[in-house]
Amino acid sequence: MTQGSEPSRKERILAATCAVIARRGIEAFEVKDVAEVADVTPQLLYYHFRNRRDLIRAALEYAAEQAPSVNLLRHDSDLTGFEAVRNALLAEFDDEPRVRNLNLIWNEVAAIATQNPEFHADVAQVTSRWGEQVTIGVLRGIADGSIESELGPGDLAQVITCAVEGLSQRWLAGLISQDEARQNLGLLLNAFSAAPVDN
Amino acid sequence: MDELVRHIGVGAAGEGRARVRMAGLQAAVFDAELRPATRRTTDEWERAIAELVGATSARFDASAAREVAVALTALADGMRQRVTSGVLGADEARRLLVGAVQAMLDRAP
Repeated sequence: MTQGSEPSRKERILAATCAVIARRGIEAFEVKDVAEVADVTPQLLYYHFRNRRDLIRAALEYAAEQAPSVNLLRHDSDLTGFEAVRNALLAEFDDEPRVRNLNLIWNEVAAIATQNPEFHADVAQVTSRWGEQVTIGVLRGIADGSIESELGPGDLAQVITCAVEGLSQRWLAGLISQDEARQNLGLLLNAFSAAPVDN
Repeated sequence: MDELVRHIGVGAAGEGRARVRMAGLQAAVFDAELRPATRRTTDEWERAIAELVGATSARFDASAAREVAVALTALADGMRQRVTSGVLGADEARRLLVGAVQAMLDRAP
């Protein structure tokens, strides 16, 4: 195995983990299904990930790194802070399977963490990193006057990301559509905008 | 507003019911048969909160109150998940909820 081929194999395994969990949920997923979808041997999979829990943790990290909101916030420098935060977070609600799967992984791991304290630290870590990214966007918005809030930047980021998670639960459960989730989040975000936009 | 925050409340009375509803939401992701019941209980909660939102100001007609209620109840669900997964303290969640409710009531159209 060459060093150069390792990241792509690892990424393929993580993408396959997201796809398998998205199909049946975390409780039902089996490592052998991931190996099959990733088209790798179980031995190779266990070379990269020690066990099932290790794979779940890595999939959560992967979902956090790939999250549309994190990546859009890093690049939308021509927009006001509010517009950048708004665009980035609305992009989380996307029926495109890859994006939906990332949301689903996050939602599933956060849900099992309510019963399994062993996952608390992992969920706390990715949530904190996401919050920091959104806080930077909020700070930009406060600096350019596009965001107005009685809440501090970190608190506002916490509120906004909690709302994304809450709406995500309803969207993933099929209670609301992608567009309804975006519209509802847009309404909440407008409460912190200097110039509210139509949803 | 106090009554509204209390009813939306994270860690408030009715928490057991909220957790059952959240478990239903989670299960409904993979079991479409659970969706009607989950939708019904979520609708009931949103409707109750919408009534309280409407009572805070004449600015909120039924439709606007419902929209605000959906946003606030979803926010509370997100906070509840963080509290139960050990990411956010319950007192901190309540403090943030008060700030968010205040902003929504002050600024929502």
